[in-house]
Amino acid sequence: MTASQTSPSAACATAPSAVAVEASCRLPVLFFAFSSATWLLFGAVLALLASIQLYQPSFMEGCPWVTYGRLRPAAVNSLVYGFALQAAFGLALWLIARLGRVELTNPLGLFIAGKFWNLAVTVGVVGVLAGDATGFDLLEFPLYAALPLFASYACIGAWALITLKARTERTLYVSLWFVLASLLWFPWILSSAQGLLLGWRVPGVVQAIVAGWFGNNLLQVVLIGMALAVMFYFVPKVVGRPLHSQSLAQNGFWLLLLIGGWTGLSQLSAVPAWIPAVSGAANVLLVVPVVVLVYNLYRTADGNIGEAWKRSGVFRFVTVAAFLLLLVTLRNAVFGIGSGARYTQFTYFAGARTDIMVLGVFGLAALGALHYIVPRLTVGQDELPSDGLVDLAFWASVVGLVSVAIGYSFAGLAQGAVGATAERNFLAEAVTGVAGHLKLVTFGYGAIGVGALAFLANFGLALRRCCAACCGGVR
Amino acid sequence: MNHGPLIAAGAFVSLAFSWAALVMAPQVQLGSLAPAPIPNTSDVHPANRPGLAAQGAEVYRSLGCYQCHTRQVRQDALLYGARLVDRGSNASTINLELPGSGRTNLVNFNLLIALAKSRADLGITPVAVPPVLAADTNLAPVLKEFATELKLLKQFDDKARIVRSTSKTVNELAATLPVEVLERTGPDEAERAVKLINDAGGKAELVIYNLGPDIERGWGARRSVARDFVNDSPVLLGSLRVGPDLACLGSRAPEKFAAPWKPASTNLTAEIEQRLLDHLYNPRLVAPASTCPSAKYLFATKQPEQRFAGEPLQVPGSDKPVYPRHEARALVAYLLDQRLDVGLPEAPVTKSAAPAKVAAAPAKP
Amino acid sequence: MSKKKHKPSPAAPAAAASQRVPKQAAAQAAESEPGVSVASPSSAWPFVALGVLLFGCFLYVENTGGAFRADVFQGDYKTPPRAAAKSPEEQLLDRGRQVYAACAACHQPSGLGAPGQFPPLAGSEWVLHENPNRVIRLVLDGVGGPMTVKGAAYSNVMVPWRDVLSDADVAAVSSFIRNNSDWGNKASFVTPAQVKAIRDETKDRSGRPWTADELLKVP
Repeated sequence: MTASQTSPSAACATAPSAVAVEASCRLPVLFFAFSSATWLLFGAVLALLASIQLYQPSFMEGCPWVTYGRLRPAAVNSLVYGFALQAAFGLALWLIARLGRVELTNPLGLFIAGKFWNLAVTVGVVGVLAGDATGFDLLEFPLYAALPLFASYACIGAWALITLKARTERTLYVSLWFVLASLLWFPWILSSAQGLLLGWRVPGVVQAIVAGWFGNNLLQVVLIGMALAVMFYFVPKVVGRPLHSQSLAQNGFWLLLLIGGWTGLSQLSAVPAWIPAVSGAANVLLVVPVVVLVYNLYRTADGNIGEAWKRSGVFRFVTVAAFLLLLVTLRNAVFGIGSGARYTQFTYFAGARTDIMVLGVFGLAALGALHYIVPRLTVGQDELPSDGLVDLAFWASVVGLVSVAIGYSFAGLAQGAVGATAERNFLAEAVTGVAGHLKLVTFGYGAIGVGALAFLANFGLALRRCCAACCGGVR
Repeated sequence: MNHGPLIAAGAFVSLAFSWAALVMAPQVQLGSLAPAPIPNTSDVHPANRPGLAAQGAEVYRSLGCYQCHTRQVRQDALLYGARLVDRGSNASTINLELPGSGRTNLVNFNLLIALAKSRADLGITPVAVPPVLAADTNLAPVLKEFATELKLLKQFDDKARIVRSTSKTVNELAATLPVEVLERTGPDEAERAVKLINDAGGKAELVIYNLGPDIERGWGARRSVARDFVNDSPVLLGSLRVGPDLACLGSRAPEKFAAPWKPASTNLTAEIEQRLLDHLYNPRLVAPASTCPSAKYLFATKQPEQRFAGEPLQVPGSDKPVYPRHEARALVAYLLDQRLDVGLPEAPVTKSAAPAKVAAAPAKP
Repeated sequence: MSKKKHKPSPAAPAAAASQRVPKQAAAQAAESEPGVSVASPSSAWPFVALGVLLFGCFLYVENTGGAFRADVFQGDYKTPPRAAAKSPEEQLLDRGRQVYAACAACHQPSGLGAPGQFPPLAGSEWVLHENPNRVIRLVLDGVGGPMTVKGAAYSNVMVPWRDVLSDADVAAVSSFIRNNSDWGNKASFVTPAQVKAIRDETKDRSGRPWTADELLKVP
């Protein structure tokens, strides 16, 4: 039972029925779910192929389209724009509709905008493989793909915000704060970064600073914010208890927004000393809002965790995602300042932050949420048809992500040891010596791909049942 | 917190804070940086890239080399020293500044006087001016008179890393000028030492030590600073070192490369260019342990139609020459264009007379 | 990307019917939306932790932030590095380059002069003579009449600079033209003391330009 602080009037009279809400969500949200899962599979495969090239340079050599320098940005950008952002849109729309008890505005328009987004991402990935990458991390799509991307987001974001405004449930639950902040944050940072890097160009290293600022805001505020929205929705829902504390949620939310945008630049080198110093300090400060938010979730579920873990697949995903969020924030804090930052600068350790945040924190939370949303919107149940595939998706994703994280981290630490002193031989120790760790990374990407495939298979089963029910036949 | 516009406004303000601090402030500080003039020449650093190298930058970006290589050198510490260049008009007094003279150095002289004044319990004989020494005086016996003071001074000397040995005559030491009399200290001590020596009639100059593993590896003479990249767009700094740093390829010594070689001629630039072309064609030829992908597609097997396409590349281990395409030559020109040996106001370099010794732990100023 | 479009299937409302139960008496907890506990405690510990960490961050930025300056890249310093002091020779050359700007009008920045009109300085035997006595006299009092420079004949007048340039400036520009590596000139430097000595020695000339023959008599 939940006891919430709703205003008594608005809800019952004009609220559309839950069936109508779900009906309006069906087309766009299922489309976003399907395409994001497909992009997850595609991105994981690209990342796997790229990681093989790190220790086996003769793999796919001789073709400029799949050289490592093009394959890796294609993989990362397809994971971020193809998988993560589309999943974020689908989740945002669904959360707005469910929590606001309102039908989605213009589902067909959202679907077409989603199609355009996919088209833009495809063109962008092909452009990167063709050699037109811009050179900025997480912003590699060339201009001819970046502009349609922004245009389709404008439609998606506008309709999502109109839906939010038209909500019948006037109380904004915590998840909707994060959703609203992310939906607004994304176009603001995207337009700033595109404008300053591809339009009216800032000179020299300021480009690197702006690109780093954009990438960090995208990961730390937009994606982590959406992951937190998912966590704050599902944890209380699954354990059947209200959220522990409103004020802690508020404090955590505002501190995350204030501090999150300042982190991530702590390992820039050719810039005035104050920039990495300030950013490293923000990395440490960020521990406070993350601890506050995760503690809130923990106190909500306290006592029921074991039982909920056994009962609900969603809860498993979301719990691991919350734990990873805490872990990655602490990791960034420890290795973002002082000698830790210097040791891991320019190594795989620092680069793993993107993978852990996109695939781990956001990826697991989103995948868990989709495991609830997809059956809800297709067959009308809380669980996908095959429990075995749910387990496979969970364990494959978790094992994959942990392998990637550990592989990159230890490879990075080995590189750091070589980089810290001039006596060690670069080629023998920092290149050949990390091949073993990188093989673990390859395995990890493969496992993530298997997890995505398991989810897609389950999705297919759910659709088959839905189709069968539509056209008659036994459920 | 039920008011949507309130949250939107709060989000905007939060974003504005981080934007102002991390986008606007750096742009205000660095937006008007221009190349700096190089003293005694009419050049500026960084110079505008010649056309071929500018095209090479496009090839570098297009192939994604920045995913595996950085173009920035790091530095752990910046320390100062004083170098004695000439004994000048007061040779005998300046002789005392030579490392190994064993006598109280001028640079620490006022320290000794201050110490004598303030710590009477130490029993230091107050010394006014060091007596003049003849040019070939053997210093060892002179040392004995100053044993106590030397012991005390040694503590300060160790902090300042003054090199002392006690076996040579003054003339032998004088033959090895220019020589560092103060190594790896803070800016104030070093400047005071230079001033003292110059006032005493000799000639000394301030020396700068750029310390750090990147610099000791030979990847650059100093750190990279913002001004080094004012002409680059996109900046392509790189953030991961799968392969070695490329900031200084154009001015790196052959033994400092990741796969070093013995230079066969005096034209180092031509040798580096040849090796880079070989590396692009098949990195395993140049460095067997390298995991750099080969860029064979930048080379043609048939003689190209243009008249001035350049020399064919004789690949070691194969009898058929390959012809580097324009992109390959442009990329190599770009890589050779990277230099980091010129000093800038925010990152000076001193041409070393004596090679700086590799320190285990440089002293903090 | 295939699209999945669905009309509500007949079986769906059966499962969704349970959702129409009023919120307050929701039969299954899973069907109602999450809410926030009414008795939610608020505590100050996040702000205390934030305050402590913030203090630590200020200390950290103070020590490694390089005083927020644009030209400080080593975090432990608060000012940009001291310039490596220039040797007196370097200072003379820099000053000489600046003074030479006035001479460049005739002798050109490249030191090549104009054929038939202004003699070159690059490679000129007058400039590169083993001691600077002739050059100093040239600069102080000018030269006029026929003169042979590098095998070519010139006949022009150079104005005196005695009253315009100080000893230091004459020494600087003389050192510069004798040592400009861009021109390939390399000879000894000139000190202000040398200039002063010659200025005093020739103070009776009162600005009368030298002739080539007179200069050749100067050792």
